[in-house]
Amino acid sequence: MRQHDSIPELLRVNIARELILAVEDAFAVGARRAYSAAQGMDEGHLPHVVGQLRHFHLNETFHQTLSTNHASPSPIKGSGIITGRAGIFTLARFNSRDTLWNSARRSQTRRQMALANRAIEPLVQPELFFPYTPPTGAVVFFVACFAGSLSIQPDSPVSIQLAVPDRHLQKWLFRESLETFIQRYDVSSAMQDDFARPKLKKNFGKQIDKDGTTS
Amino acid sequence: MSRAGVQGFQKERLGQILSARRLSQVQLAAMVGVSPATVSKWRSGTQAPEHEALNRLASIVNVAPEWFTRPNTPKLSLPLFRSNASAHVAAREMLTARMEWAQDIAAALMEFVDYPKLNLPTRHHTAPEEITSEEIERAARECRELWRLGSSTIQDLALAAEGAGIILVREETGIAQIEGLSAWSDVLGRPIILLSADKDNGYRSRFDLAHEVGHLVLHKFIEHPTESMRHKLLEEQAHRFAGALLLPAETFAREVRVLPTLDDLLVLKRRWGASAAAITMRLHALGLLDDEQKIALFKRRSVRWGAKSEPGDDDRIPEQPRLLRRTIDLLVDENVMPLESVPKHIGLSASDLEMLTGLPAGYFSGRSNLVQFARLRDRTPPQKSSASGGNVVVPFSSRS
Repeated sequence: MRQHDSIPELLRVNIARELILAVEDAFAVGARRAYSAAQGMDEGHLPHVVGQLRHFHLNETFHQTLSTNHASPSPIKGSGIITGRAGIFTLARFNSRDTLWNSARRSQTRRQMALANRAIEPLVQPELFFPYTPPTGAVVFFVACFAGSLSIQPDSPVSIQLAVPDRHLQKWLFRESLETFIQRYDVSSAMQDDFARPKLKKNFGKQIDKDGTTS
Repeated sequence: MSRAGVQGFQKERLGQILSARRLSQVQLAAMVGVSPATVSKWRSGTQAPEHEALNRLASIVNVAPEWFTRPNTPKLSLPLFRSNASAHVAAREMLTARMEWAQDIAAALMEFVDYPKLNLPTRHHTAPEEITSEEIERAARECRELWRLGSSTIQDLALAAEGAGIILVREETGIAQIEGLSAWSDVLGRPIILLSADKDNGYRSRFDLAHEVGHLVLHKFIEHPTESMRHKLLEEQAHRFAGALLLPAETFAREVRVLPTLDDLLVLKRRWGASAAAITMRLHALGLLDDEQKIALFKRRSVRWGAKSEPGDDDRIPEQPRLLRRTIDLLVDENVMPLESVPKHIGLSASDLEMLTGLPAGYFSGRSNLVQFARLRDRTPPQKSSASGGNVVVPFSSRS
């Protein structure tokens, strides 16, 4: 296993920092648009309307972001899932409540997509009969987590998570907020190099031996 | 005894020592016991001091007599000071002289060692008006890339600067108003930065260093840099560079809550190693604070903390230079020259050398004492005759 073969490291290497930041912006804007568009609807079904609109608006902004960042987005079609590609990773998204991510498995497409992550499961749990080889494909979801009540922060996600599921879409091999994950791009400064070292001039020792002087 | 003046006396050295010690000719004459006119003649080169007078002179100004016969090293480029006020003329001369001594030390040691290769972004602006804010941001980013600092907090800027081949000196100068200066040395083929250690504030010292690096990167080829209007602009640009180097837009801005409170700034201060005032200025430069918001923050800062200090100023130990110190250690460890010979080789007093190279006071005598201390491990009782060299190990008296 190579040194950079851990799930967060694979994510960092394959997904540009700029794309992560752009997704963060896209979700914030999409959520704001959705809430704004739902204003005036009857209180009786407002939460459902906001939920539905979030799906469409975040799909739109997500698609736009993938397109701008050359991540090959799939076309917008009905309520279908938008996917993109960055390195070995297929990128997709879903919305969920902050506390319980029960909506992840609702989609047959998402369950299908998650199967690819068998290739990276050995990074978390090594397998005896399925040795790890560098993966050529895996899937990661951007999860916009909302408060679950329109009385709390209704116009923006409480957090946005980067989540890598297992092949059954039942457990998470890796999960981290974008806010935390973005700091992984700064690791190059974790150990500062020390170049402030003088070196004796080449052949200096030999000159001393030969001449008996240091001049 | 011959009454003739000492051969090879260098009048420039006398001028340099007067500046370095901040002495007037009259003061020096009184201390040496000669007339001011005599010192004036020494200084103009029409007369050289006699042997006895030179010894007295050298002893008073604390250098080796032989130092006065050493050819003066070529002048540095015109140093850029943080204060150009006329009130600080003598102070600037003193700092320039100290910087020339740093050049002498580095040049003398360079006979034996290679310093790190110079690794600075290059800019060829000849007028400060050519330098835009975007250009400053780019230069700071390039500096970080060349120094492999990433885009997050810088752990030790002094280490990075010295690793890039800059000769760095940090010493107490007695002139707190001038926080630092920088200049280029032809002899060394690299720049020198001298930082004042008087304020003993790790945050300010880092910013001062970043500011001087800004001058070196942006202003190397600027013509007439000391002209009043020009100097002001150069200072502003060096400040902007310092902010951009320590607090890069793409990572720092993410961590800022707009509008920040003073307490938010204190959290950022600890993390990024820049004062709350410097952070406020950076936020303003990035357009995250408008003029009114900036002034409001500074007002609150004054009300809560006063004008000069901030909470947590003592949290960070000032970063220390290492390169010259390491060079001396290397020469001693590799038996190129014994420790006690280093001041003699350079010609300056041990205390000046310790200050300019960042060595602890008493280092040149302290390290030899350490060798003596190793004798304590020797089980054989010390002989009286062996004590003649220096320290005496006194045996415990017998209890019997």
